[in-house]
Amino acid sequence: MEKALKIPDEQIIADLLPRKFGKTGQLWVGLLMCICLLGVYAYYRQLRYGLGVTAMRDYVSWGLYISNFVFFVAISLVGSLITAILRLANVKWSTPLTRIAEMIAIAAIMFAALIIIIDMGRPERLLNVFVHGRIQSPIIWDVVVITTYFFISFLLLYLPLLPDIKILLSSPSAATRPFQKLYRVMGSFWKGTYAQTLISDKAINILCITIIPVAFGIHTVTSWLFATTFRPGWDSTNFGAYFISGAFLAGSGAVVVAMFVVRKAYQMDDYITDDHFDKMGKIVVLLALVYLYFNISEYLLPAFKMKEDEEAHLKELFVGDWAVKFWTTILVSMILPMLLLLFKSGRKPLPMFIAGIMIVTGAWFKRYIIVVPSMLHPFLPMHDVPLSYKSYFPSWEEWAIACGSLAGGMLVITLLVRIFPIVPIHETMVEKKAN
Amino acid sequence: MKKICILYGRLAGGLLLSLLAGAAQAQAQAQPPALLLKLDYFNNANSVPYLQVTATEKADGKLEPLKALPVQLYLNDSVPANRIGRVVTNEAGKAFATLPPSLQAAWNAGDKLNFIAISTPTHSFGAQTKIIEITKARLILDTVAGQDGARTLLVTVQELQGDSAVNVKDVEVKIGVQRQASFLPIGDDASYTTDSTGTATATFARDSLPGDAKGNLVLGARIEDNDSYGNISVLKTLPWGRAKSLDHFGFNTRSLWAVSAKAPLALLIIAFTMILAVWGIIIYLVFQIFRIKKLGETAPS
Repeated sequence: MEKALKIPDEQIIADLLPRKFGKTGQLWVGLLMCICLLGVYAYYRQLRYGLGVTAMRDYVSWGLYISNFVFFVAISLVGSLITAILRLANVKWSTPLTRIAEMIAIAAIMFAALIIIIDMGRPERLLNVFVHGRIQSPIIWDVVVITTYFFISFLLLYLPLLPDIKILLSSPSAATRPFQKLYRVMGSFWKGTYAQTLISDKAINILCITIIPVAFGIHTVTSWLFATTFRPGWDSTNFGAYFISGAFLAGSGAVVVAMFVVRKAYQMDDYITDDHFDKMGKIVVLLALVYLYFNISEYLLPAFKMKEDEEAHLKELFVGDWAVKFWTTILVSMILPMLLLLFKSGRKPLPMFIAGIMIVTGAWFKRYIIVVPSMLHPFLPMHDVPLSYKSYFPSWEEWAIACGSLAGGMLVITLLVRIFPIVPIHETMVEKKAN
Repeated sequence: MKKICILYGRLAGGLLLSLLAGAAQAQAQAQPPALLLKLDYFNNANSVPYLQVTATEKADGKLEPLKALPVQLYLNDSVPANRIGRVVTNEAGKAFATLPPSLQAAWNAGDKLNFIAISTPTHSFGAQTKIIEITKARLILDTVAGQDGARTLLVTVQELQGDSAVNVKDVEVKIGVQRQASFLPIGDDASYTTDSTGTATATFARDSLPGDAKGNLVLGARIEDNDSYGNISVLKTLPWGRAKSLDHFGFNTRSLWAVSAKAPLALLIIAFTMILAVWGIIIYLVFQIFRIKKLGETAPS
């Protein structure tokens, strides 16, 4: 950003305008589309033959899909962290990261909602959730809060985009020409007058304030889906804070990965600098520590008491069949990235990228470990339960759908990056002038 | 010497027993699987009489339901004109059939009916025939008020003979209350026998039994697996139970577990205040976008 401050406005515009995909970009989009298509085919099979094609049975009725849902919800929190919290705290260095964060949030929340519909055996009955939903049920709270969060995130992406749309319309390039009509529909009315700017700034501030409780709400309510259910491992009053801290870490990891990829793909070293990685690295260390604290609290206390009902579940995690997965996840998603990022050399782009990958991958497995082992140890086990109920490994249809949804999320982000400036052009120029 | 003789004797005895047991086991194992075919007649109150076929396979000393066994059913004679139908046993080894209207004349012709089941030969079992003879009969359930408010049920068994009916004595009848998943005896005895007048008398001794919202109970009488009459039952609804509150679990009062319309007021107020507040802000912001648009349209370019 320091270098960007010395770059003329015309150069900033030229640098930050959306660009056409190169060979790698096209290959990337093609790959994502193939994975999505495989997911669509697997979903067709699920619709055709029912949820029986999954490995979910009466014990594990929340399997890979719900783990994936919780992962998407967690990733979506990043929008409120980078955009809202840092903006309200008047942290200027985060400006180039706000749009990346908002795009990730939008894509994640879209697919969080979608994966819930996929998890329904009868998706055509979705409307019944709204028509006959009970306000007493945390599932309805989740439906309400996800919808609300999507609209707020959309507005938070759209409003700061208006000045950039004016630039996109006034500086057409070969890369942006196919989207000129879209730009006109979205923001041809933006003239950048004092009155417009005043309203826009006020609206963005209101959004930033509003999105924080809503973001906390979405994660708390998602955690309550588990905590209000009588299951070992979920019977906790701590779950809301535990989920929020995990979501902050997962979302930050996703932003770090996106920062590295965007910087590399679009040669944006002057805008997404080593300093940004350094500062994000420090934030990630803090978030990893907080999440580690909640993990210790979440597992140590039940382990200390070792209540009979929790015993089988905890032993499975600590020393049983799930032990390798559990400890690897703790190590990979929290401890290793934290140790790596404690050192200044670890907060360089490449180590940060590796840490980001570890955090995101670990976050996905963490959700899987939160969901599945608890389902395998119900408080009231059935008599003469069939063997297939006692263990769970997702079927190929579940893997294809889950991978398809992850690819879909990345495809949405990729397409948004193709259409809109990934680093806010107008804000970068304003900050340059202010400095 | 004597001890050695005793020891040899015991050893020889043990060996002989083992050989006999082994031979018996080998014989049991060597036996081919057998098909056990059962045919039952049911005449339940207010419903069409039907036949139930039960096929069981006996193999290695174990009885298992035999599924997918085709069975032909006939009335009185195993000729095509008297064919009731062809049924195939289900997972539980059972199959059911009602009499077709085409056999109404044959049904009305006699008071005693022969039902014939002939299983279709399979690669494991040959054809097997089962015949049951059923005498048409009916149950009549009546009530009488006794002294001191005692309530009594009278069940009469009648054989149908042409257009008339004759009461039958010494028939075992079960009298009880039809519950969700069982037939609860109304008193200490599970079954009663008809007297010389063909009537069984039972006193209702379950005063506090929960009924429906009006206190109604469904009382009934059954003849089960009778050689002459098959299975016959009759039901009667009587206000002899305790009126049960439909809202036993409090679904009708405002609670977290009630229906949507009965959500707790505090929850409704808190939830809708939050929803309205946030969506009010969203609507306000959308309105601001329209203001920005309007300002842009009026501003000089």
